[in-house]
Amino acid sequence: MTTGTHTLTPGQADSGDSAKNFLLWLGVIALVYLLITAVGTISSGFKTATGGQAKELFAFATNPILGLLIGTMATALIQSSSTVTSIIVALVAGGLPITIAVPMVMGANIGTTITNTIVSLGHVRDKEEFQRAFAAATVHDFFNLLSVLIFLPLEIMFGFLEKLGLYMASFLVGGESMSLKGFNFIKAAYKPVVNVFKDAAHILPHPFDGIFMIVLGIVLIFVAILYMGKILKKLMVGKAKEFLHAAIGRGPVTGILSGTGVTVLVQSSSTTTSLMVPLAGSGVLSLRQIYPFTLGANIGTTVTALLAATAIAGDKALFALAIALIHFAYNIVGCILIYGLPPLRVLPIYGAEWLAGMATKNKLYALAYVLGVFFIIPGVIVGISNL
Amino acid sequence: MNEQLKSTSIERLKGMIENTEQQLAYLKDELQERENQAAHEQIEHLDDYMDVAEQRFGPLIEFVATIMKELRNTKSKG
Repeated sequence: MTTGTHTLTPGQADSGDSAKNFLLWLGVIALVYLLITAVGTISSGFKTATGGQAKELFAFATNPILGLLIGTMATALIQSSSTVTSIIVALVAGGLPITIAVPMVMGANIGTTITNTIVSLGHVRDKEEFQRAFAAATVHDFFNLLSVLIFLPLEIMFGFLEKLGLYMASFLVGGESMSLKGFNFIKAAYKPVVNVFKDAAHILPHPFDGIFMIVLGIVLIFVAILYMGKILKKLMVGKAKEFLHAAIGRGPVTGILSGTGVTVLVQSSSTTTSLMVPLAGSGVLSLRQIYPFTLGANIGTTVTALLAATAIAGDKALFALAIALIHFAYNIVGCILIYGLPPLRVLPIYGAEWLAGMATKNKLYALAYVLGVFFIIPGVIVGISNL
Repeated sequence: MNEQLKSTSIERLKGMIENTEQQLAYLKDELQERENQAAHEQIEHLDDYMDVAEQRFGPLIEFVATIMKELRNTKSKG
């Protein structure tokens, strides 16, 4: 390698890469710190703004369908379920009831599928390639829609996910102090920064001081997850390749594990599912081969919210961890039930193939689907319900 | 073909089926291997796909532009 008048030996180039990677990892650690600080900031902002009466603030979203649609639209707009679920964790820590948060988390699962669907639209120039790419993208949509159709009514009737989440969280959260076992040092680490934000916000009148902290926290979560994803993509592309290479020619369980692994590495389910679209478009991987990867992406993306939940200590720690675990359990149970039962397993494939066929014949259907499912239908329903 | 088969012995037919099944299995293996090879080659382009995955609303805008162009062409032909 030559740089100006100097020639780098392979050893020098390697040490240069190591130094660069070291700095990138430092960046990741800083962004994780920023994420948990942001979650703590939102939680603190809610307490400041509502004086612990956040339940009344969310009264407008007590309808679970509304919660679902808000989760869908918010995620579709910012194209990151990790960001939305981390914000939901912070909202729960600030007083949002879990009953309202569960449909929002389900909505985040639907909203995140927009990214790979949009990526598939980029294959529009070749008819067959577009059909394969669009089907591969929308199989994720149909799976998540089917999952909501099955689990949301069950949740409304029995609240089984809420009970399951609280049950699992109770094992990890101390009974008396209600703080995360072994994780209390995290609050100590971010508290000074949150206090700085709090002091700065105090120049504003109440309740705008709390609102300022909430908005600041949301912006910081967005920035932290966005840049964490960018850096991890650079650092982890090699490992992601290894995961995918290992899954080729193997069964669906390996596909699910590979999808989970890649998503944990890049901290984004939409990235994992979007990576699959060109592979499907070129015909290298079939729709049935892509399908398990997308389920793994659903599971892998829950790690970010679990990480965010570690930021919460005190009386709301149990609930913050519970909602993160609900997201995890929801995706695991959905995968086992829908993919495990052959009559249900094929439904997302049939749906995706049907829609891709329609969209290939008339591209306006694809446009109507993207705008309708993710924005227009949720927007109209949310608008009507607030009249 | 059917006339020829009618005069073929049962033993010979069994042998032909066995031979065909072996050929089919070989072809399936070969196809699988080539498909896997193609997938491995595509995975090596993952860096490029990572960039595509970051385009956000770009492909949607491109898609709308393509549809508009097609609609204009259809109108002008009509």
